[in-house]
Amino acid sequence: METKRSLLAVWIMRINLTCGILSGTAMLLMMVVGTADIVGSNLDKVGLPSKPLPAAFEFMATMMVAVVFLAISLAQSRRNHIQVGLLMSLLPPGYRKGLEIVHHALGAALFGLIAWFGWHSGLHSFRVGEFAPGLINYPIWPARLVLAFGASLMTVQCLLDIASVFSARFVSEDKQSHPEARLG
Amino acid sequence: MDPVVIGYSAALALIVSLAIGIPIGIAMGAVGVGGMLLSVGPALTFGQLRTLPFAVVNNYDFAVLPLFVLMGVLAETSGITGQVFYAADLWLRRLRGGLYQAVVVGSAVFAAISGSTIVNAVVFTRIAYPEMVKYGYSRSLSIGCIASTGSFAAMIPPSITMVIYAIMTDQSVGKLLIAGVIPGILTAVVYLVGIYLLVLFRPSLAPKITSIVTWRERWRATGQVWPIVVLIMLVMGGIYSGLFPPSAAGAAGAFGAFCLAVWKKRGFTGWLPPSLQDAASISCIIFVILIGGLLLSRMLVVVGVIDHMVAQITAFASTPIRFMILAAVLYLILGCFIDMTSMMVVTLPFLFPVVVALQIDPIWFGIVLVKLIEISVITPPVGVNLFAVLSAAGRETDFKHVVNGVIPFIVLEVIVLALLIAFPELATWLPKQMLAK
Repeated sequence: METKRSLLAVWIMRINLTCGILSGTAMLLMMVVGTADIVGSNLDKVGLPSKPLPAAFEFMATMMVAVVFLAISLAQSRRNHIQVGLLMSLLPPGYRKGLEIVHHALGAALFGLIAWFGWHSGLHSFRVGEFAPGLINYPIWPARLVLAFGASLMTVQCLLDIASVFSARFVSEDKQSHPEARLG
Repeated sequence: MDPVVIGYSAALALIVSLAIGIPIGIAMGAVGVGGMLLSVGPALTFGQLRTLPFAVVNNYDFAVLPLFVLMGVLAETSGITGQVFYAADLWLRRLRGGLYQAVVVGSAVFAAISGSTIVNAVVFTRIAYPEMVKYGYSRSLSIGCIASTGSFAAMIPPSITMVIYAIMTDQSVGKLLIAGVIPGILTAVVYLVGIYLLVLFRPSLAPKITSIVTWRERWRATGQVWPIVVLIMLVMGGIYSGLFPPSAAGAAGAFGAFCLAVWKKRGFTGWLPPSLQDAASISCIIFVILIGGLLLSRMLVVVGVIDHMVAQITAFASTPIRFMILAAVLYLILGCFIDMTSMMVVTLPFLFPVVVALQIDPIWFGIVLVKLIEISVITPPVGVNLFAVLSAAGRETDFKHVVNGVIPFIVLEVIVLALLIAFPELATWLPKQMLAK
């Protein structure tokens, strides 16, 4: 019999998937801006005045934060984060459930802390208008807030995963995992 | 608390966390944060949590990693790999065992645009393995050859493994990438010679050659693969000449692979969203491991356990060569149990300070480490490449075929490893010639 999934789990999954798309888009932007910057910076080699993109490095760094932190929670919901787990397969199911709670609780604790300090420095950065000095003053607070948001989402996902050990209503619907983790 | 006690407790806690299946990045991060809280108190720990994760990801220099991942994924999507293999096959068909050689050459070329050993192995299992079985090549040696040549991607730039090493040890990404060129080519050459000799002494491993290939066919097939050559020259040439930094080379390479995919797929439909999603997901997984690894490494430094550990290890291995051999044995054993990225990130916080203390060239150590990792991915029982090829091969191929097939290649790999340890210049000469710092 199919269990009706909690509204919370459904919405978190939707947010995860949206963030996954944003993460992919950030990657595409990194590629385009990086290429445009090279072309611009090397225009002098063909006799034109060189025109590096202003703040291209800073922009790519911000996009890096988006690529990584907007995809963390989706990866957690799909159990894509790499585990070793030599003992796991040898244990009886009851113990395995207990250990699963430990996994998610540690994840929630670590990313909860990262999120907490992320919001702290993100909001501070926003208030004081922190920027990276350069040709144009590039604001740093968006990157800090993206990190804080991504880490918070990951924390919520880990808490949801703890709940899912007790009730199938909280299981993440999208269990698609990558057959080739491609980490080699 | 005594730093030594903390150091050993941290190592133990890490081993236990990994054994019970805690995701590796989270395990290292938790041990790092826990150790810092217990030893130097909350103020310093929270300071690290505030700055470190942001500093690792908000970093232009590290953008090379996701961009190389993207480049590999897009190049694979474009389907050019099959054409590279086909062209290599046409050129090598006159040799007995030519398809083995074509796998070696094709894999080495594909490794020059892709940084993942698993992708390399899986792709060649799909395109080359059915051909090899069809023409009566030894099932076992064929699959072993594909699994082993897949590991080229870790050494030949752009290598994701090499970038991870550079980030963990604060070395120049560009120099490390360039350092992989000669050892990568050397490995491919040793494979070509090894296979030639093997087939010479055991002709049953490869069928007699019957078909004749014309020069026209050869050149036509080669003409199909020029974009890949341009892409490799662009990325490697850019880094080597110092024309642009590795991250910019990554962006240009990804853009080139993107254009290639648009051209070969005749448009944008169907392949772009999954490729972007794959690349983002892989990058995110690696960076979680890196953040955890760097938190652990920071903890070991602030606690002051490093000096003690360096003293312990150097008492055991007092010369660079002895240390290299010790490290080799350690990684070969560890490689039987855990995957390469994790193995490297978990051990580097402990081992790299010894490398520095013994004044070992970090580039040389990096290259030897990557070679060890290449060996570990094809070492039974848990080499990841063995499972990768097994999952992509048909049902008639079982694990015994794979294990028997990789044995000759493990022997070849150990020969290359010995050469790399005996002649450090193989790794260090080329980066010294670079114009850029």
